[in-house]
Amino acid sequence: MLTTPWKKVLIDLWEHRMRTLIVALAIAVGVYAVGVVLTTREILVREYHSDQAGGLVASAIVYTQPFDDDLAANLGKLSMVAAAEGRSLIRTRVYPNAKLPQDLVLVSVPNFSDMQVNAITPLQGAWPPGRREIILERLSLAALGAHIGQEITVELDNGAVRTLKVIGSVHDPAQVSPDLAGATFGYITSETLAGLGFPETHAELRIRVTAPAHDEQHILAALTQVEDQLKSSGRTILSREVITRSRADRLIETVVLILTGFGMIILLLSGFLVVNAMSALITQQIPQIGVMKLIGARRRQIIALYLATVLVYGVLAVAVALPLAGVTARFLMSGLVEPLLNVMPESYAVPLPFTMIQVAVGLLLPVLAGLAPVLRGTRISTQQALSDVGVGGNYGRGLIERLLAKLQKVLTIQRPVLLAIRNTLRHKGRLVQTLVVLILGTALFVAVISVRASVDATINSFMRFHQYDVSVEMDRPDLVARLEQAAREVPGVISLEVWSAGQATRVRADDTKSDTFKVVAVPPATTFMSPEMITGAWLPVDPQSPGTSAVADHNAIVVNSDLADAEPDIRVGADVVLDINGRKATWRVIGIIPTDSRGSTVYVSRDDYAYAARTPGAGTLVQVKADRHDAAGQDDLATRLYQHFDDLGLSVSGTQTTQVIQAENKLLFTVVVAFLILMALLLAAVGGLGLATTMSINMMERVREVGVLRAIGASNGSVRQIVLAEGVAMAAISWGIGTALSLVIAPVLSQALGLALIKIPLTYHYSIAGAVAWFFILLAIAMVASLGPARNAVRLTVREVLAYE
Amino acid sequence: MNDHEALIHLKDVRKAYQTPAGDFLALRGIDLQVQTGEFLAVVGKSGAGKSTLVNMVTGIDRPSSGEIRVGAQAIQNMSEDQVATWRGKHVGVVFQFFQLLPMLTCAQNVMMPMDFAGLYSSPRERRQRALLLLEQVGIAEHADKLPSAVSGGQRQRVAIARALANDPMLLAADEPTGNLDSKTANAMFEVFERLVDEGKTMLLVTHDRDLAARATRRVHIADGEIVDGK
Repeated sequence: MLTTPWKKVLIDLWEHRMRTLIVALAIAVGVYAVGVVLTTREILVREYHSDQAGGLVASAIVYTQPFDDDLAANLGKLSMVAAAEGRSLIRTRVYPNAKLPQDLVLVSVPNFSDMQVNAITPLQGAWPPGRREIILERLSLAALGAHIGQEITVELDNGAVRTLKVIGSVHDPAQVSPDLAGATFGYITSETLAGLGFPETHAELRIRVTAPAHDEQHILAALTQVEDQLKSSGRTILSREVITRSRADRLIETVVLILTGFGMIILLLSGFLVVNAMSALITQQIPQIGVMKLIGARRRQIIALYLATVLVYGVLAVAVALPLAGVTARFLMSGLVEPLLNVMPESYAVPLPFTMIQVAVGLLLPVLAGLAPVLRGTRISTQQALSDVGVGGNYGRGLIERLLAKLQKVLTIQRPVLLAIRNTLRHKGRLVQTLVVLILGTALFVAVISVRASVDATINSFMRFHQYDVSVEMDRPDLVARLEQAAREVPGVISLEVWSAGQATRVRADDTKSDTFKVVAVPPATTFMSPEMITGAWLPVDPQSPGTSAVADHNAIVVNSDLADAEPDIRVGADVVLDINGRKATWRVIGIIPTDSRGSTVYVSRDDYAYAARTPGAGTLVQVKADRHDAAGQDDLATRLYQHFDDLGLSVSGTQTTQVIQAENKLLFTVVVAFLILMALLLAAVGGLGLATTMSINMMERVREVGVLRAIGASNGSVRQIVLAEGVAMAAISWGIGTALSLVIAPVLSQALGLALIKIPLTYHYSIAGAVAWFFILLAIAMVASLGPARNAVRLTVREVLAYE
Repeated sequence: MNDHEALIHLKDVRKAYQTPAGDFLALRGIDLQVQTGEFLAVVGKSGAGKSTLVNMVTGIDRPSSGEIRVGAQAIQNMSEDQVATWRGKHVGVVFQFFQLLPMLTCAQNVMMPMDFAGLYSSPRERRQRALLLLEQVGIAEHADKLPSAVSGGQRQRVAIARALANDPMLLAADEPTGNLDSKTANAMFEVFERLVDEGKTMLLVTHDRDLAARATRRVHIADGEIVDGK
C-alpha cells in the first residue's frame, strides 16, 4: 500500500492532467524522434544490406563478345573473383492491359538452381521456369498488372512477337522499382532465349569479387585479372561497369543523415522543453515543498517525490512513443522504402538494446532535465518556501526593462499590452528556453519546407532538359525528314525536333576505357533543351555564327557533371577520344552542364553525331510539343503517335512523356521528402508544445494575479487580451528571429542534401509560403495555449481566486 | 524561573533581513525561556517580530546570531534537513492560512507527517491515528474530503490534527484564529487549552488580547524586543 507522500505524487499527476499530458507529450516527442531514428535506421540499413548480401549482388559487369558458361566458370576461379556468371539481357516490349507498351527486360539465367551472382529468390508460383515460360520480378509483376498463369506477348527488336507464360514471381535485390529503373524485369532460361532466336551464349559477364567486395580499387584489380583472361581468349572488352555504391546506397545514406541530424536536434529541443516544464512545476510547488518541510520532510524525501513524478512523466512518454516509433518505422519501410528500393525485409524486429536506449532516453531525459530544477527548488528554506505567494520571477532590474521604461516615456503603450510585455519578461530563464525551442523549431521547420521547395525547383530544372511533351524513340535510325513528316500528320502536335541517342565510351590516353555513357545529339538551334551552364558554352547554335568559329573545325561536345565527376581530367577545352559504334574520334569539350540525374551523358550536335555514327540525315528520337501538357493529354498524344508511326511502318521502340519523366525524378526524392516532412512535423510539434507549455504554466502561476486584476475591475475580455498579447508576443519574436535564421540554414541544408543524394546542390528555393504558414500556425498555437488557461482563470470568482492555494 | 527545566531557551537571539533599503532588524537580542506544559501567548502589533520569533523556535527560520535550544536540541547548529526531521517528530506548527496540501484529503494531510517521520509503522495504523486526531478536533466525518470542501474553521482543525500527528512536545501556532470568526476562534482556543491540559507546551502568536489573556503566560513584543512578560 502506498504511503501518503507517494499518493500525493499520483494525485498531483491526476489532478493536473493537462500539465501531465503536456509534459509527457514533450518527453514523448523526444523519445519518438530517437525511436524513429534508431528503429528506422537499424531496420533500413540491416534489411537492405541483408537483402543485398542474400542477392549476391555483382561487383562489376563486363560487356564483351559472346562467351559460354565454361569460360564464365573458369573466370570464377580467379583469385580475386568469388563468382562469375554470364547473363544475356534482351529488351522487349510487352503489351499488358494498357494501351501503350512497356519495356520488359528478359534476363536469361544459365542455371536457376545455383546462382552465385545476382541471385533471385522464388516467391510465388512454379520454379524454375521451363521452355517458353517466364518468372517476373515481384514489383514488375505488379507494374505490368500481370498475374501468374497469364500468357504475355512480347515484341522483340526485330518486330517478331512471341508469347511467354508467367509461371511465378521472384525477388531480385539488384532491381529497384520499375518506376525508378524505367523497365520491368523477367527471368528466362537459355533454352527459352534460344527459342526467341538469340544465341545461348552471353554478352554480359557479371562478377562478384572477394572481400572487400565494395572497395573500388579491389574491384578494379579483380577486373584486370578477368579482362586479361578475356583478352587472352581473343575477346575484346566493349565496356564495363563497376558497382560500388548504387543510387539506393546514396538514398539510404541521405536518409540516415537526415534522421540522425534532426533526431539529435529534436531530442535537444525536447530536453529544453522538459527543463522548462520541470522548472515551472517546481516553482508552482514551492509552497507545498515548504509545507512538507514544515511537517518533517527531509530534502532527499522531497527530491525523491519529484523525481518520481518526473519518472512517471517519462514512463507515460515511453508508453506512447515506443510503440508509435515502431509503427512509424514500419510504415516508412513498407510504404516508402520497400516498394521503391525493392527491399524485402526478413524482419521488422528492433534489437533489445535499441528499445532499451529509447526507454533510457524516456526515463533519463526527464530526470536529467528535471534534476536541476528539483535540486534548486528543494534547496529553498522552509521559511522562504512558506512565504512564496505564487508569483515568481523578477521584473524591473534588467536592461530590457530599463529600455521598456524609457520607451514608455516616448510612446503611449496601452496598459494591458504593457502588462503582457512585463509578464513575458518576468521569467527570463523560462522565456529564453521557450524562445530557443521556438526559434530553432521555426528555423528548422522553414528550412525543411524550403528544402522541399528546392527539391521541386531541382526537378523543374531537370525539366530544362526535356522542354517537350512526348518523346518517341525509334528502334533504328530513320531519316529526319521522314520522321518529321510522320509526326506532323498527328493532330495535337504543335512543333517537333528530331534528336539522336546512342552510347559511347571514352578512350583515355593510356588506352583504358571508361564506363559506357549516353550520347544525346540535338539539332542546331534546339529550343527543346536549355540547360544552365556550370562552365563553358552550350553547343554552337550555328557553326557559322560569331564566337563559335574556334570550335568549328572540331567536333564539339558538352558533358554533364556526372561524366565530369567520373572522368576528372575532363574540363572545358580538353580534347577527348570517344568510341561511338566502334569508331574512335576526337572531340573538344566546350561546356559542362549539371546532371539531369540520369547518369553520365555527352551532348553533341545531331550532324556531328550522324557523321560519327555513320547515320547521315537520320535520327532516333522524335521530340514533340503538344497542344496539351497535362498527363492525360500527353498520354493520349503518345498513343496516337505510336499508332500512327506503326501504321506507317516506322518501328517505334517506345514513347515517354515528360510528365512521366518528372514523376520518375520525383520518385527519387520521395523517400527523402517524406522523411523531411516527418522531421518538420516533429519540429512543429516540439515548437508548439514549447509555447503551449510555457503559456499554460504562466497562466497556472498567475491565477492569483488574474483575481487581483478582476478585483480592480478588469473584464474577462481584458484578461484574455493580456494573456493573448503575451502569447502572440512570444510567437512573433520567435518567428522573426527563427525565420531570419532559416535564411542561413535552408541553403546549407539544401546544398548538403543535394550533394549527398544527387551529387549536386539542389536548385535553392526559399519557401516564403512555408514561413508565412508557420507564422499563422504559431499564432494559432499561441491562441489555443493562452486562451485555455485564461478561460479557466476567468471562470473562477474573485474570492475563489484570491483564496487559491 | 529555572533555566534547566525550560523546554525552550532563547539567548540573545537576533535576526536581520537584508532588504534593498538596508538591513532590517526583526529581532533585537531576544532572551526567553518557556517551561514544559506552559501556554505562552506572544502578542504584539503587526511587524513587531512575533512570527519571526516563532519561526526561530520551530526552526522554520534561522537566527543571525544567538542561541536557541528546544529540549536538548540547539536549533541554530542544525542543518535544514536535521531541523526538518526534528520538527517533524517534536514540533507541531499551525498557521493562519492552514498550509494544507490542497490535493490531499484531510486524513491524508494528517498522515503525511507520520509518513515522513516513519512513525506508526503501517499505513493502516497511520490512518487510524489520523482519524483519532480528527475526531479529537471534532471533524472525523470530514476525513476523506479535500480541504477545499470544508470550512475555514474545519481546515484549521485539520491543521491542528496534522500538527499533533507525531505527538510533539511543542505546539506552535501563528495567528491560528486570524482567519476565523469569533465563535470558531473560541472553539479553536478551547482545543489548544485542552492540549495544554494534556501536557503539551503551547506557543501562540496572536494580536487578539482577549484570547491572549486566556494563556498561562504572555510576552509582549514590539520592534523586535520583548517589552513585557520576559
